[in-house]
Amino acid sequence: MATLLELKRSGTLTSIEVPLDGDDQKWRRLYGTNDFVRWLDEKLPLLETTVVGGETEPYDQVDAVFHEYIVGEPMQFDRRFKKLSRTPDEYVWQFKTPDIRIFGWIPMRDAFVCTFGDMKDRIETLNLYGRYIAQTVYVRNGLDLDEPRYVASAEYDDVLSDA
Amino acid sequence: MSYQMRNDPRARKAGRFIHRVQKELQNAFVASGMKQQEIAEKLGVNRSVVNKRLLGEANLTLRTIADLAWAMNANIVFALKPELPVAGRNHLEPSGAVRTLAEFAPETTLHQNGPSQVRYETEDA
Repeated sequence: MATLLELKRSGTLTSIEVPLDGDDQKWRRLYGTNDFVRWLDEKLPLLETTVVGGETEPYDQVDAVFHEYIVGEPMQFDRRFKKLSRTPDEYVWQFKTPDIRIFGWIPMRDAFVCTFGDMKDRIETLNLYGRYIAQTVYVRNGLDLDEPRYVASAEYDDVLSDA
Repeated sequence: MSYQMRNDPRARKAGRFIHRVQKELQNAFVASGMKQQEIAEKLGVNRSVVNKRLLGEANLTLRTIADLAWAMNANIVFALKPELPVAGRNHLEPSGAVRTLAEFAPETTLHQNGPSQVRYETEDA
């Protein structure tokens, strides 16, 4: 069994970083599976916004929400970071932007592992939420990660602290 | 391994600014205690219009932002400031005496798990 940092060192997980602005400090940690980082690097830059009159492209939207997370901004009332409802609860969470949904889980407070990303319209049209939740749980169970593998709580203070 | 987001600075500036405006609107909406329907009636638009604007799924103009602020009884604060020159560091010019935790141990993070438990994880430990 391994910690997040050991999984990073072994190349199983990749740390995701954003360029920091002048007064930013890194507060929370963001990781991605190799498949997710490949999507982030190769597929996401090619996607275009479907928002009518939209002024930001999906890649820039994702940068903005990742930046918000990493620098530790309060996200308590932010609809762009939320747990997906499921029975039984699988504690799979998502980042939301106008065009993109990113799925993953919270292995410990102030850490997030991204597993899958896709266009919101495609997910809703093809009703893929259940599939992505199940695939995220599959990836989570398949990792050689120390128990507990995820935070089984939706309470804000259990999953996030603010800078 | 690490992956660095690599959008160009101009697009990044726009993306983060628009994201922040949307977040401020959401925060103001929560703070107002109002329902979307109330805001919609005050503005004379359909509730779905308000919903899309608050979710960032509609293009925002300065006028629509101002209208939402008016409807939610919120003041608008806007400022442009010079950029700090170095990202990720504290600035106490000119001595430069303050260094960040990241400079001492780039992969070190500090977590507070409850009132008395402090845990460090260090990449090079």
